[in-house]
Amino acid sequence: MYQYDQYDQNMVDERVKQYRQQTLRYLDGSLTEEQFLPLRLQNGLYIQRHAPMLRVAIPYGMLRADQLRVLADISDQYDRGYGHISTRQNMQLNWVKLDQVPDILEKLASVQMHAIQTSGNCIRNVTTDQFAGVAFDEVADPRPWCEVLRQWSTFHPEFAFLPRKFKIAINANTSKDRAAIKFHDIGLQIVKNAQQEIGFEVWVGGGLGRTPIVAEKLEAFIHWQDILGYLESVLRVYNLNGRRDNKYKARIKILVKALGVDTFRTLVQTDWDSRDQQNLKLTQHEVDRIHNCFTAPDYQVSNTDLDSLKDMAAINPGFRNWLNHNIAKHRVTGYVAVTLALKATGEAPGDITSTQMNLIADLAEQYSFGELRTTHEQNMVLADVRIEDLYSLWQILIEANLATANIGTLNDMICCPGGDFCALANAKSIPIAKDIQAQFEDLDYLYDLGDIQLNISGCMNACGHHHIGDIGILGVDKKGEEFYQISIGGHSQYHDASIGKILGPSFKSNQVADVIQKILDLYVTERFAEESFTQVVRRLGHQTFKEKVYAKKAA
Amino acid sequence: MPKKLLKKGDPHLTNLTSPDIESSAAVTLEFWQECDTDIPEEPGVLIQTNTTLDQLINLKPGFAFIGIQFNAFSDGRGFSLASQIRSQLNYQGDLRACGDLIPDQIASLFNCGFSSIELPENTNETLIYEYITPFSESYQTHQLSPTPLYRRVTR
Repeated sequence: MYQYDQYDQNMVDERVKQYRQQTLRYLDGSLTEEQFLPLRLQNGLYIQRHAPMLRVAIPYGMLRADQLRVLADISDQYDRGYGHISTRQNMQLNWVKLDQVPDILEKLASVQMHAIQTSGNCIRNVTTDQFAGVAFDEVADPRPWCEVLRQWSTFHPEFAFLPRKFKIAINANTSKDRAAIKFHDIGLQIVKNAQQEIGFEVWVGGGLGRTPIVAEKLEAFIHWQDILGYLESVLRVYNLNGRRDNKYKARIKILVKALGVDTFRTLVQTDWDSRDQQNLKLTQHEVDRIHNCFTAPDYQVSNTDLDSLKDMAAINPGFRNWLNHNIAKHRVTGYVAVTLALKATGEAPGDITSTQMNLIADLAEQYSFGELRTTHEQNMVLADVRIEDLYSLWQILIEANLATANIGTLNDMICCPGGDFCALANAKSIPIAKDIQAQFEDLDYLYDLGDIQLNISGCMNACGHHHIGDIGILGVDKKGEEFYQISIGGHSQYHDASIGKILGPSFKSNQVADVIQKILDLYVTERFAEESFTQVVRRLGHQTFKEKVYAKKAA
Repeated sequence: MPKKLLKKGDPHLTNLTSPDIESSAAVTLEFWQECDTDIPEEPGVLIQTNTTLDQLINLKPGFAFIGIQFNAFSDGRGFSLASQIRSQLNYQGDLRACGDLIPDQIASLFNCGFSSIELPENTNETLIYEYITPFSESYQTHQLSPTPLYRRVTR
């Protein structure tokens, strides 16, 4: 994992000092509300329904055990003893006090952490596959490139006041896109050219929100040395030409659609051609320096495979279910990646208590080389666990309510904080999640359904990614009352990306779980063996589901 | 009232409270391009943040500076426009940031190619050095260095 050198450390230390001074100026009235707004947002501080919310950056989801302990301390000392993992792999603290934020930032800086650019109209936390570096089928480890981009985007002087927020994701996996790059302002797919040199396929203008759009291909190959300079040209064209008159039309996706991708590409190329490209080229030395932080840990050679746990699993269904759902294959024999579920029934998806944080930090040290990850599905991952340790790890996780064996199932849902916390939300989302979890608590039923992604957003901003869920739920406001729109058929994968389609008129909160039941009943009745939910939706058509859901009961 | 002026690398930066450094008069781009009488003292040419490079290609010579007018401090176009005026038009003269700015933007403005800045209102001048260099280094190109950190130093 990346280790700060003196340059990085100075940067976050000086940022704390700067932000402390900005907070003081706001409190003494020399910065107006309007002037302080972008400054605090660029530091992850929102004013929420009940209290300010601080979003702490977890760059591309990577954390060390000591960092998680500090997050636990902070949530105990300055918040209410828990945090919330966001869909951009960051951690949100929902109950901080504005005047204490500089102290929190100082604690974060002491363990190489910060809240820089976790909100605001700037380049946000770069995200990637939660199994980066340990997954099969990777062209290269994407994490060093995420770090290269993190440094380049941090306090970029030109891009702190973009028309709107800007999100970049990197994927290096050829078989699966867990980073959903086609739904980002810029998506980068790591590829190799004929000379086996690393480069990036650049996708632009994807996104969710109120106008969901699948990204378009901007370039097939940008050499790694040129990627930062090229991205600057993309950002510059957006900064100059993106709409600023209407914040709902200000994302780059609207610009790319309005100009057409070919015209957009020409503008980028013109700017790029005018630059001193030699001067912007990344150096081999710098890239090597960063790559050296991501060398493989000291894996122990082992031939143990998951078959060795067969007997244990046969007599212990709980353990078997967990092995089947919460374990991912590892590129090194004898190891797996373990997903710790933050989706226990009755808990807000993605919430984690300080006790759980401290425990997970201990487990990371004991079982996974002291490192862990957050995922965009709002879970956590121990990425390097020995198969021999799985049973003892599982026993500890069960005790801590972190072993719910529902990863990939309907109940492993993505859910934004919604109207319970967020000032933007039209409707609550956590109670809907809880209703659904309660209705579909039977694990055997969930397993029979197979992998189904259910995503809930409390408003059009789509923080819960409802457009790309197999089933998406969107909270809407109708004359002051909360309603829920349901869509089906969304998909985030590289080869098959699609946006879910709304079924029809929205439902009251107490109807949602039953509607989901009707949709699933139709799926279960109609599916052929091994046919996924998306496949059935595509085969039967949207209308069939609509008729089922809106059918009037026979008199 | 004329605004105080911050100049990049200006030795007078130590003397900022002195009101003698003032932003000089400027005219609009349209006025400058159409005006055919001699103006005794060279004025600056003030352009809006939505000005395109095409509008500047045939800029009549004889002006003192190009001023980019920010009508709102959150209008980030001025930063990229400055960068393009330097790179695409290869303009070497004085490039000035004018209008509604906040002191916290001073460093970024210099880093994007501005060579002078009208001092934002409500700037606490005792903090001016913190605004000019809030960070001892930056990852990107720097007001005093045309190369990004990864080419500037060996880490």
